[in-house]
Amino acid sequence: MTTTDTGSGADTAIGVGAVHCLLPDELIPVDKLDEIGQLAREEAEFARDCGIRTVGRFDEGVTVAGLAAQAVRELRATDPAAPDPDVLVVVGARAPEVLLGSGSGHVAHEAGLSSAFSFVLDGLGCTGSSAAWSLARDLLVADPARQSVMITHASRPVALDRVRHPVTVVGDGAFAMTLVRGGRPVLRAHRQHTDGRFHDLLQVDYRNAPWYEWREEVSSADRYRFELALHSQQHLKRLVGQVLDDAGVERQRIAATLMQNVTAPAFQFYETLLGLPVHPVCTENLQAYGHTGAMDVVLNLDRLLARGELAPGDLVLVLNNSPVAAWAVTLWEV
Amino acid sequence: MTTVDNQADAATGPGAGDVQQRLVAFLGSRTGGDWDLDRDLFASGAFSSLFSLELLQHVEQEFQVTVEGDDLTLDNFRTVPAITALVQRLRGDGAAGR
Repeated sequence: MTTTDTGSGADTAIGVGAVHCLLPDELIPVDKLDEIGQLAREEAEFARDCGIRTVGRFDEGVTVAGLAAQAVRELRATDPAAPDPDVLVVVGARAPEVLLGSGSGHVAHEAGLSSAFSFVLDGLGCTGSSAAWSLARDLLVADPARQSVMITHASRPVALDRVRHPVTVVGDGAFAMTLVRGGRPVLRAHRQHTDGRFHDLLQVDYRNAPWYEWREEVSSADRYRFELALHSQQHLKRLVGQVLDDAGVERQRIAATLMQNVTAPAFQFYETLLGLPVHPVCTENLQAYGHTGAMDVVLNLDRLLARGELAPGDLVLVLNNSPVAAWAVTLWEV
Repeated sequence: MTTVDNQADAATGPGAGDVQQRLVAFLGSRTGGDWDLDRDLFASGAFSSLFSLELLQHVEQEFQVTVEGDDLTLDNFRTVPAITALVQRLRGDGAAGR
């Protein structure tokens, strides 16, 4: 198990420089997915009732590296004067596109980043984006010469199937964002935790089947619904308390709580657990785009900020967790 | 209706019958029917993450115990006797120690 305290970040004022989310134009109703008719009744009912109406789908020929690179290019095009990133953190996809080759090098090359040091942050599932925020902040604190850390990720299912019973339905998407000195929102505090006992809860049997038959499988639905759920409630409850203590703020000061988009009942679960209402933007994104992996919390944060309902100084709490299993809680100050 | 012997049990320690009876009542009320003592909770078909949380909160509040870490396993919550043994052990009751 690993617990990392990056402490309060207010004094270093490292925050978000820019965010760009890439979403497909084509939204497929869940009950029109090709696989629905081939699922067991329980699995099909789950897919229809989990709170996801549509999922985004990019063209079949597009790769996760290509999508991530496109997100980086488009982000840089919005602000050509922004400094080249010193570091490119690629949050790992559900399955690597190449073995032995470099997925991060692929993204950097396609994005036109020639000087950024690039690598993949992997093994944390959806929580990878939150861990990347913390890591980016630490990299900027560690070396004053660094000015910008770029983070990117693309979400696509490992093969053709999108329903991961009893967890979620996977949608396509990609994002790029930078953390810089003087950025906003400011990363005020962050805590994270991993537990290797759940390392095999999700799996793809890729050795014994051709790629088009690969499925994202939960090895034990009971372990997912019970053991992981209860460990999650204990860890997230603790991490929320620690983050608020680190930042020296009371729970009442939280203006909005965000989390990853898995199912509608998951929002209910965490609201019951933490006594913190999950902001409606999460439900809206869940309904429209499904679960976009590590992109969810970035999309939710970006869309929340775009609504203009928060004022400078407002605090946004972001919960993130993954069945592999990892948990993270981050406090941003707008 | 399942009835539970409220006498001390050599295998689960004193008070086990009372714990079992209260668990049976809770599970029966939550599932809208009688609850068999040895029924597998995870095979009941109506199990969810939210119900997991409710069950844990009920066990902790009703029996004044804290369940965490390695004790949060399927086997410790699979049946009423299993939960009872866990409660007894956490309370340090009778013969139900580790």
